[in-house]
Amino acid sequence: MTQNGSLLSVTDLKTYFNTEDGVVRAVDGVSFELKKGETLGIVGESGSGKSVTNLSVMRLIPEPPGKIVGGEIWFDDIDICAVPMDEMRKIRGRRMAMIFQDPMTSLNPFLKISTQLMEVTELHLGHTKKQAYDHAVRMLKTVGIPDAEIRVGNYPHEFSGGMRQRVMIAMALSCDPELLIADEPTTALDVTIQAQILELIKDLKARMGTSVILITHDLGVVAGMTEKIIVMYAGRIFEQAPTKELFAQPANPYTKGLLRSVPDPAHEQGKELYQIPGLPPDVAHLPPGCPFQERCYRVEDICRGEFPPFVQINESHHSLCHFAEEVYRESSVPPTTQSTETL
Amino acid sequence: MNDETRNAAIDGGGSFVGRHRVLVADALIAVVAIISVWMLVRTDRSDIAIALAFDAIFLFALVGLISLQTSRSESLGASAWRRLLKNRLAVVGLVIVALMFLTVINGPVLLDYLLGLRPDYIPAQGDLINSFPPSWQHLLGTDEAGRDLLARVLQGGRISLMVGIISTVVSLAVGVTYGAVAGYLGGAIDNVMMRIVDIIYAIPYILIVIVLLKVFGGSNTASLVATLPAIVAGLVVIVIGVPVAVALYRGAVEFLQMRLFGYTLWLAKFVLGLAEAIILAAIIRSAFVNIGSMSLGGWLSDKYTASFDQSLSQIFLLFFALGLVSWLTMARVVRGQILSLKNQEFVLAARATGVSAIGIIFKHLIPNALGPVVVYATLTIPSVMLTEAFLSFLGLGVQAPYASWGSLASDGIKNIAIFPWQLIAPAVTMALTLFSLNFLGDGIRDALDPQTRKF
Repeated sequence: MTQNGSLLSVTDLKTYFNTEDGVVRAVDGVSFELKKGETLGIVGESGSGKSVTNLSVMRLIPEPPGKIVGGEIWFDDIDICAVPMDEMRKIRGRRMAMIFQDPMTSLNPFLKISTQLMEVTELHLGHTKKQAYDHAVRMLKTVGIPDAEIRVGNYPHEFSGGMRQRVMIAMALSCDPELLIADEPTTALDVTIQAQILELIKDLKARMGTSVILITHDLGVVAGMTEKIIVMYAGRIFEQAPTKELFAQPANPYTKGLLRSVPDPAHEQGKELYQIPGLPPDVAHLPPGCPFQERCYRVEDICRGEFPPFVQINESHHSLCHFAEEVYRESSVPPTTQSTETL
Repeated sequence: MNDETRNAAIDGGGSFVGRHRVLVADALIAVVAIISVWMLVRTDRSDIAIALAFDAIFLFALVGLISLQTSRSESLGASAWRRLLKNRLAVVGLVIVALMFLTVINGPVLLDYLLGLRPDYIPAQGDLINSFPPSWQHLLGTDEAGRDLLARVLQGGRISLMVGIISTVVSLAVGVTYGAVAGYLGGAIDNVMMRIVDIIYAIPYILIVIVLLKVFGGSNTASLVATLPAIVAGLVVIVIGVPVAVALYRGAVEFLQMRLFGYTLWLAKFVLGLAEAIILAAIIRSAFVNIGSMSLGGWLSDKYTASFDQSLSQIFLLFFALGLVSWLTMARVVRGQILSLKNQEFVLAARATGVSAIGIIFKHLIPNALGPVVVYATLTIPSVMLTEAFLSFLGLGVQAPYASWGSLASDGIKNIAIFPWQLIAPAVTMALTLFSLNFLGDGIRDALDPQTRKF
């Protein structure tokens, strides 16, 4: 089953966790496609299923309690859900790699940087110690670590947070993977380092032609990086659109709320910051109807009773809302001039 | 080893040892290898050879520690070693332990070749009393059979320290692996594995030791001990031989597949399979069967049965019995560590780069759990030694003509009113060693985990 030029194709993915509290539907029917060389942003609050989606793609869901109960994941002609674990291990790190949120904890504190970098290429590319070592130094240079020859012999605690995230990126990219999943790569870093890391990912992506999935809850991060964006909420895709269109004309009340929640220092000086009221629902006990109903500004009776449809607004823009078309039309007015009442 | 080369290259300066660490290490390994071969060939001089081999190992450890100090690396080991050296009590302990090792390794050999004193030599005079107080001829006096007490204390020290170290190594190898596997896999497997530990825990170890000694002791022991090298040799042969045979078979099938088709291919495969089965059977047979005539295992066991008398095999049983119980706590310690480590992000990161479960356990998890393991191991050595002394004191452990500090003390206490030196010599030596080991262990704990220091 070869997709039309797409590297990764996720169809109706369902990943549930069996907890004492009941079945948690962490990811419930998520579909998306990623073409070669494309960058996809996944945005959502904590617990919306962003990370679980991508851990499912890597088949890294802790099992039990988690399980991929339905759907298909195709990665370049490979059925990820059906491939045996041994094969999956050969794909991980070699063809798809991952960067994690907290560089402070995602490097093994006990092993030298060289050991950790060498492990990947020895495992996947069959490098000898010498080759792997040289490759490790080269990768550190690529991600912009000064004095790479000396730094490669250091331990993680001798690096700063930004440097460690660079090491993580070097590790993830050392086998030249086709897919890079960056799970909130800049959340734990300060703003100047954030920009550097994002610039680095962008630059490496352009040079190596890697497809990137960028998970974040920071809309500012995805804005300049991605070609299309998925907004997730309670394990569902709420809106899927090209980046520009999503920012300019969102078709989902949740997306609008998210966009309004980004503080704007120029215009909001001294005013109270906007936030979406309420808390994300408990995914183990979702109410009937729309999962966002409690917090939505334009909730109506139909939202409480019926699960919203996944409306196609145009060829690449979808939104999960009963009133997607209306919200889309309302959004055509630039958001800054919009009054608070309409929201 | 490769890492070290690089380290040495980066370190640049430093002492001779620091600069030529790998060279020194390789030379030492070569010396040990030559001595080991010599030991196997010249069995009449094996005592010297064994002492030299242990000296080499001792030296090797020393060089490692010195190079650790001179290296500029910020590894956990190097900084812990520097902290240990600041702890005066631990250094005193370390020095005493090191001296005790050296004396115990070389003392019996020197005594034998310089003064002609052997721990098991009973003089043939017909006097009623053979116990003599310390004199220039017998520095610590003699025991009730007239054997030189210094030689016996040194020889007993060999066995006591060996019991401590071997049991600790067993507890490390078994306990760490067991605990790590249980902790990492979790779930039902973890449950079953830890319940097994609980069950063994529940049996008093004295009972285990007594049962083992009663069942396998006596005349059974020699044959039991003799089968060990046979089994090991057999397993080695199978581990090497079977994969080679299978690889050959696969190669042959691949070769044929390019040249034969249809029925001829099937026929050739069948013939090959038959030949393969015969070869495999021969390999397994040569490894295990025919003990005593043709097999490798049989040859080894023949060679070693001759040198095993009953008392010596009793000592090996003691090792085995102590090893059997000493790994339990280690397994629990390691499991606890692994449980807290396995949910950390670096494990997920390692899984995301495709490292296998075995790789994660042994390369990523166990090194991180090593701190508590090292601390526990250093404190296991004295505790096992004490257990051995206790068992020997009760008459369950080491038997004459061999001696351990416990059995010497047990012999000495019989005549404490008349010949007090017979108790004092082994007791003081043992107390000194155990004190030093405990101080050293405490020092290592503080050095590895500076935050838990109590002052």
